[in-house]
Parts: sequence; C-alpha cells; structure tokens
Amino acid sequence: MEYVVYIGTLIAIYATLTISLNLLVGYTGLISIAQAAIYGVGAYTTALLALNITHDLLISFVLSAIAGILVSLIVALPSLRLKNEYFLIATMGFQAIIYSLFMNLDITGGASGLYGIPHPTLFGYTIRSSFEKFLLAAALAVLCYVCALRITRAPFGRLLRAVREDEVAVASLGKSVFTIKFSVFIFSAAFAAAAGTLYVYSLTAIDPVAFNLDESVFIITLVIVGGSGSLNGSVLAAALLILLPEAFKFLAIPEAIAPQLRQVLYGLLLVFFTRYRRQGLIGEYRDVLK
Amino acid sequence: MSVFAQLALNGVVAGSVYALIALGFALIFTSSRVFHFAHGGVYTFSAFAGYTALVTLQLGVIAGFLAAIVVAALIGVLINILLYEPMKAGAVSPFVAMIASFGVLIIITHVVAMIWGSNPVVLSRGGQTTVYRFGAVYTTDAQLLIIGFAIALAGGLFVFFRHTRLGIAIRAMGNDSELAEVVGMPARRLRHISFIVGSALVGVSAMLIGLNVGIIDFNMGMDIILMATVAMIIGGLGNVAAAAGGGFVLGLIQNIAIWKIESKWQLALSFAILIAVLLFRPSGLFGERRPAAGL
Repeated sequence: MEYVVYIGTLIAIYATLTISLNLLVGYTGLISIAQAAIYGVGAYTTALLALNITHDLLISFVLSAIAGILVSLIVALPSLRLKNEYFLIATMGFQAIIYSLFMNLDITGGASGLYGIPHPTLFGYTIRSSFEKFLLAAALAVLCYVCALRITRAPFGRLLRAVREDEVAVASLGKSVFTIKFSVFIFSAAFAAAAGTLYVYSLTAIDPVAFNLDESVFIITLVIVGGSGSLNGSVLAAALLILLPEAFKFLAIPEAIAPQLRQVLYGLLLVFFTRYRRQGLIGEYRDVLK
Repeated sequence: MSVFAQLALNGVVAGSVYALIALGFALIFTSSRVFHFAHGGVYTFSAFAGYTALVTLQLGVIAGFLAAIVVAALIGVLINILLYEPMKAGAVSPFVAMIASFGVLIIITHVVAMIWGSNPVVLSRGGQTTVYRFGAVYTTDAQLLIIGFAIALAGGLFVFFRHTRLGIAIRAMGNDSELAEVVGMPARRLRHISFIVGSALVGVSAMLIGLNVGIIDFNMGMDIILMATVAMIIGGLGNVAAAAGGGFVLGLIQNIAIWKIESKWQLALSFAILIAVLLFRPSGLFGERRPAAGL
C-alpha cells in the first residue's frame, strides 16, 4: 500500500513538471532542457530551509518558488536571441552548470546529497504520513493543471501561441515578446520548484542525480509523448510512463537489467513519437515540433 | 613553469580527444544539419565492440580497431537510413531529428549496459606503456598517437572540404539539400557517406581514447558528446576543421584552468564558455563570418 501511494506521489509530481514545461515547449515554442535543474533548485532550497531554518510548508513553497524563478530568469535570457537547436543547447548548458553546482558545492552535500529532512508543518500541523503527502502532491498537480488551463484559454494563451508561430508578427503588433516569454518562464519555474518542494518532503532525502540532464530529457519526453500543447496529454504521459516500468515487476525481468530496460523504453518512445506521431498521444497540433 | 608546461600538454591531449569526437560530429552536422547526439552512443558501442575483439576474444589490436570501425560505421549509417532520412523526406526539421537523436543516445547507452554490464571494464592491449620525457614534461605513446591522429585528421578534413569536389559537394548539400539535388548531386548518398566516414572516425577515436584511459564504461558517450557539442560551437558551426580547433581550445582552457580553479568545476566552466559563445559570438572562434543557418 505504501508503495502504491509512493507511485501516486511520483505521478503527481511528474504531471506538475510536465504541465509546467509544456507551457514553454508546446504553447510558446521554447524547447528548454533545463526543467530538472529548476526542479532541483526548488528541491535544494526546500531541503536547506528545512534542515537549517524552517520546515513550514508555505514558507518552503514561497521561498523555493522565488529561488526557482530567479534561476529560470537567467535560463530564459538566451531565449531572446537564440532559436530552436541553439536555445536548446544553451539551456542544456545551464542544466549542466546547475547540476555541477548541486554536485560540487559544500552546502548541497555534494554527491551524497542531503538527508534527514524533517516532516513539513502546515498551520502548526505536522504532515507525517505518506498518504497526506500524496494528497498534497495531487493538489499541486490539480492546481497547476487548472492554472495552465486558465492561462492557455485566456487571451494571453493566444499570445503565447502567436509567439510560437511568429515572434516578429507579435512584436510588430506592439506586444512585448520579452514580457510574454519571461512570464511563461516564471509560471513554469514556480510550479517546477513547488514540485521540488514536495519531492523533498516525500523522500526526506535528495541527491543530485535526481536533477541531471537525463531527468530533463525524461521530462521533455513526457511532454512529447503526451503531446506538446496538450495539458491532458501531459497528465496521461506522466501516469503511463511512471506506471509502465512497474509492469516489469510482473514480468520475469532480472533485477539487474530492469533499470536499463526502462531507459531503453523511454528512449524508444522518444524516437517513436518524434518520428511517427509528433502530436503525441492526444495532442492535435503536430507542427509544434516543426 | 614545468607545471604550466605539463598542464598545457594535458590540455593538448584532452583537446585532441575532444577534437577527434567533434570532427565526426561536425562532419555529420555539415552534411545533414542534424546535431547527431547519438554519435556519443556510437562512440560507446564501438569501444565495447573493440573491447570484445581485443580483450574477450584476444584477436589482437588490429582486429580490435577493425571491429570498432565496422560496428561504428554500421550503426551510424543505420541511424541515418532508419531515422534521419525518413524525417528529412517528411519535411521534418533537423531540430526534431536532434530531439530524436537524444532518444537514440539513451537507447544505445543502456543497450550497452545491458550487453556488457554497467560496471567499467579494462581496455588494454597488454604490454608496457612507453613513457616519453621532454624536459620536465611527461607523455605516453598512446597520448602522442591521439595528438598526431587528431592533427592529421583535422588537417586532412580541412583540405578535403576546401579543395576536393566531394568535400565541396557535401558542404553545399548541407547548406541546401534541395538545391544540391536539383543540380544533380546524389544528396542521399553523400549523406550516407558522411555518416559512414564520421562514424568510422569515432570508432577509431573510441579505441584510441579507451586504450589511453585504460577503462571504458557504458556512460562515457554521454559526457563526451556534450564536450563535442561545446567544441563544435566554440570552433564554429558548418566548418569541420574549426570544430577540431574548438576541441583544442576547450581542452587547453579546461586543463590550464586547473592551475587556478579546482578540477571539479571543469564541466561548469566549459558550459559557461559555451553559453557565452552562443550569445556573443555565434559564428564561433574559427567559423565563417556568416553564422550557420538558424542562428
């Protein structure tokens, strides 16, 4: 039972990460490969706060989100000059630099990470059980979904898609492409960092490997498999791709190669969807990936 | 002073390693405009193929190299035939092919781990390593081989792309595949050749580098392809010899920086340079004045 709750928590966290990245990738056309780094900034901020200052959940959320947003604004800078491949490579650079900070700074505990993180408190109530933490993660995912839905259906959502299609045209109508791009980055980073907060409190320990380049590639795989520009797709992909490797447990697959097989499966899905079904599982618009 | 000289030499060795990988990577980029990240996977797989021939089956050094080269060329051209060419034919941009290439890199990397295990293995041709000493600077025969091969290859490819019909044809095709086909160039075949040659080169490099380091592991292609990307962008896109130049610059900076900065920051430093070059000098240090398409 404990394990089922854990898987549920993971699905909720990845759904949040995928939706927040989808706003960048699917709606605004900014294919960033640094989402795991922002998620990590949120996670490390929460962990350091909890170990040293406070494990109040709301304060953790707010300060982690601020940290995530500040870092993401730096990551967002190249988007003003670089497109497609080159923007992706620049974000990959930031991903590597931030990961290297997690790995090598003294304060982040280096390769072994941080552990023994206390349970969070909310209005004086200590949240201990993993089921309560699952409910929190699910609530965050729902909140992220609803906010993203509101944004994409509002006139601002049309503006995002317009930036994706033709930046120059948007600028020529007097809209600030700079403001639009940075707003999306801020939204995306706030939720990614919040996902990091809940990840830390669920696991009560973190190490840098959870926030490396592979993880960023995995999140972008979720966006593409679900369908770039489809919020339902993001949720579906997060659920499917987290659950799928669980099926290995029922098949007679040796313990040693199961993790490798999982990665191969994710790689195959990424190749399959970019090759044969660029609109993803339930996306409609295939030209996001032009 | 001798510390500096040794660091500079280490830099040249590291730079040669990056240059070797970046050369094939840039050759493939020049002809197809795809950032072929799966090149890192080809590198890993060919090193392990060489390991099987050389260490497991004891077939000798030449067979080891041959196995690596053949396997690399085969995987490289297969990726092009099965993935990039159909995408190109379907008018999908090289950008999407680049994302797919990440997927292929992940697949190959973990297939290697499934076949050969996830622990590092020793790649050795047996016998003693010859150490050379120039003043206070030490180097080995394997290192000199890497440096020599990298310089010869960079020079050879520079001449090839400047002065031979085939080289100029490949560059032209990279710039505009349709136009090249209209004027009668066998564009598909030229790309296949580029993938075969570029991948064969990474097969040779994988063996040279593996023998120099002495151990190989399934994850090694991931890091090296990132460094090749940095090298290619620092050097300048769309110019194969420039990518090698970028590799040397990167290796030198990384190693000379050890003088002042702890070595654990090498990777972060490299990517900081990458971002700076992308933002402020997108044509690279040695690239053509006109930046590559899309930049």
